[in-house]
Amino acid sequence: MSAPALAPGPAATPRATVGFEALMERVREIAGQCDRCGSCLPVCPLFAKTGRETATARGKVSLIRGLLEGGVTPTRDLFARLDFCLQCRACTNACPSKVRTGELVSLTKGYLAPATGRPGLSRAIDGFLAQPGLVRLAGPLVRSYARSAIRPVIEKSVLKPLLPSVARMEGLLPGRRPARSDGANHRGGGAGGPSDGGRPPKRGRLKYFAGCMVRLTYPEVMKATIKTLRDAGYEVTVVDESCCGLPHWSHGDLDRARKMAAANLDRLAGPEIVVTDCASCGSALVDYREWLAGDPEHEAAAKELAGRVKDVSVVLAALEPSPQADAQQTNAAQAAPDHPVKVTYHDPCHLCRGQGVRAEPRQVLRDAGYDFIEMKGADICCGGSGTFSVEHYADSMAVLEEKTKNILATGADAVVTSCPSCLMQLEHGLKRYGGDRKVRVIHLTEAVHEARRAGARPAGAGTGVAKPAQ
Amino acid sequence: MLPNELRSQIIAVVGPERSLDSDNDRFTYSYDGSFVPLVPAHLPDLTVFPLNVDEVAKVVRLCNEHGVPLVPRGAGSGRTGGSIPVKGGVVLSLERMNRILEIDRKNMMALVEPGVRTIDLCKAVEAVGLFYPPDPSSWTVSTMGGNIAENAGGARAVKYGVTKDYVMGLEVVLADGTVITTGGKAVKNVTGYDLTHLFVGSEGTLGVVTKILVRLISKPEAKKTLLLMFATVDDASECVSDMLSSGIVPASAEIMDKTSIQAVARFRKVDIPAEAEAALLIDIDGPQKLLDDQAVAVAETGRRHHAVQIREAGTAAEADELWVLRRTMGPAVAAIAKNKIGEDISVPRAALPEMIRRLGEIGKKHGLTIAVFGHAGDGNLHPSILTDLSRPGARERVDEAVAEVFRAALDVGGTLSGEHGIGITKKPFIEEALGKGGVEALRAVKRALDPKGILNPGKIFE
Repeated sequence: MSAPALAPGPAATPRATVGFEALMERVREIAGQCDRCGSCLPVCPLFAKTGRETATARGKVSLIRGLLEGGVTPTRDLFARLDFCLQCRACTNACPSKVRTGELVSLTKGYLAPATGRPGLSRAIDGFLAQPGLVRLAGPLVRSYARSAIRPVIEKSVLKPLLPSVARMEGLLPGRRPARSDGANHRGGGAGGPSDGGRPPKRGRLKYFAGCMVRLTYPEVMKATIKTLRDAGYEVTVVDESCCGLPHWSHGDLDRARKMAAANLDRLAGPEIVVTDCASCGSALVDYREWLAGDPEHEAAAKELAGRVKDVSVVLAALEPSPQADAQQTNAAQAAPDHPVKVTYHDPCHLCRGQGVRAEPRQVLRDAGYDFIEMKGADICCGGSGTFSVEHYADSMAVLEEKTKNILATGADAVVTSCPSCLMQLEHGLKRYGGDRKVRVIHLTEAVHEARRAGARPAGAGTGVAKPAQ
Repeated sequence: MLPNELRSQIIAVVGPERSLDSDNDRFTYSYDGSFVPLVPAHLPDLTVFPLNVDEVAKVVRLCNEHGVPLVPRGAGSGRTGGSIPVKGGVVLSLERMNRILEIDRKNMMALVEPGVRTIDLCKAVEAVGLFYPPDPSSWTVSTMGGNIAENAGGARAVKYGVTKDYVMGLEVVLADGTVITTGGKAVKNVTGYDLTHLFVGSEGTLGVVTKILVRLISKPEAKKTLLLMFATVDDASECVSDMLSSGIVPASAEIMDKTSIQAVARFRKVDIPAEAEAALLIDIDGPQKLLDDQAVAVAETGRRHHAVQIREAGTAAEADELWVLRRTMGPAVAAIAKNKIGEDISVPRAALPEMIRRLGEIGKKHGLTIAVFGHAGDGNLHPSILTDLSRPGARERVDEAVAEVFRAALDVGGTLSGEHGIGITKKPFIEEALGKGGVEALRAVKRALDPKGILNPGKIFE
């Protein structure tokens, strides 16, 4: 049709939330948009498992509206109800008016926290993640602990009696994963060469934002991401000294989240595309424009950054596919007998709904020569959602069990995803519900890197022509 | 307030894990999809989730013995306050009785529990080549039990009728806990009063429906979707009227004015010509070989009524996209104003253009924006008054306008509610619609079936 589209309404523009009055105004505004039609009910993974209205967006929005109008009291229980959320955004996606329940809930938690307090675990984790030095120190400890022989000892003797929830979280930490990436040095700039053979074309500079969880628990993913991008011809600068602030924002620690966001704006300033391999970090960086709306000092920079953030799959998908993908797949299968030929893909919530990225990861997997099989409900949350899986273990497992069944039903050798939180959760799911089936859980960049190694071809080296920027 | 002993007895029936009575839980079962304010909240004392008819009967019997209000509830997506526990008591949520018990292909019927979502039944029967036509816009959420309680309609009503036209029989728990079965699979059935249809549309005031038998029809072979744009709302409504009287029977014929389309366009891309003030969304279905001729006839009628643009969906995906536009319209319209007072008038279809003109006049007179969309083909409109009720004088103006809308609908031979029911929001107007004698007849039925008045009290009439 030829006529111009109607102008998008106010919902598209971030609104100020800095300062108490602005926050309350925004809370009122979002809450007032809900019509209580219930479109969010059938898509809520937690409603499907618990059948409780408070789990749904309609329930939460109504509670918040009740709070504003004096029908609901600001209690610890209210905070807990609002906290019982996977932040998967399926509700907003299904909502006819796209009511931003996630933002509304975070803001309301920020309002409630001084009066009701926040759960101890959230507080502890937020405090830890806000200290880059501490995180850096802890990295090797967490990693070696997760994979070491001391683990069962610590588990039995220290953690379990100490704090049941931490003990459960401990159960979620990944075990020993087969190391597959070759050791790219992730420090320092400069273009790295392709892993084997061929000269990559020059493609310009990227900033890679390496989030806490990738650094702490999946350094091999970090290496694979860097290697894959360098193989494709990019000059990669690693920004790895800070947390994106999403845990703090989600837990209602708004001030700290904003401070971290502001600091990251400085770190990420410049003309370069900012690449992430963590769906949650990526969506947080994009959402800074909302976190910092109304902050005259940072507003503009946050808006500008949102336009520069790209998930690694989007960058890789823009490269020309190898014309010999089929041959490469055969090569891959021959070169490494345990190489996952059949793969399926799990959409991280913060990528598919948070950033609207759905097609690219699938395309990247196909282009890399994998036999791609779509799973049922690929974009339904895995139930991980940061500390949720620890604080609400049983509910998290109920959601995960279904996800695992859908993965197994594809018959895939590996499930690929693009978020460390999902990686951890899916690994746990396959361990717990996978039976004898050996299904690997790998990050998209690991999958690409493995295919390149097996096929002995650098990414995008087929034609050396990048697709037009998106 | 629920006496403690009774509370424990009810909780013992369903088990504590299927009972909710904390403050925040109670608050979230105090509303539905209507514009009834959330505060002051109409809190239930207890919400329970039975799994079978025995549990339902036991809970109902206990409430009846103690004279405690009991409000059956589905997804809480009703638009008139039908499932709001205005007198407290027990909310009986039927959401977890959600099994499709049988799809009988030989007799072309389906037996379902009340918590089955409408769309799930539609999909399940379409998978075996059958068709359940009632399709309320809320069908992704609404339950079959709720559809029975409100006699839900939908866009396909113009050709296929509404829920009552498909209900063959029910299992109902009466107010004293007696379980009865009405109707059955026999197509012809005049064994006593038609109790089945007494319960359809009774808004949970006469009994609790625990099983539903519906008839199905063959799935139409093919479908086409057309979007027609007009420079005036009048042209659009005259076009529908003309279409129907010239023998074209669309599967759906939806009208929407510019305000309504713009509301949806805030959240999804909608291309409309600058001069368009109204649109018609037309579905035609039937044997493939007849569809092309029908599409031509629809387009010709459109052109006779000065359509500024006629577009046919090229693919099923494109048709779906057009339908999402219409189905999300109600909530999207609500989001553009502080308050939306959405109505559900239904008029004889020949009176549709007249009714729409009158809505325009009422809006103008009171200085109110009234968005109009609805099922033009069957004369069922959802005029939505958009306002900010916190402004001084707004409430009075809206009340006057609403009263005038209802009066206009009655005046042209129509009624208050096409498919949303009366609930509490339309209660003040029911006597005007049915007359004193009519309302007294409703009361007599209510007294006969629920002498203690425990079932969904305070609804439909005082």
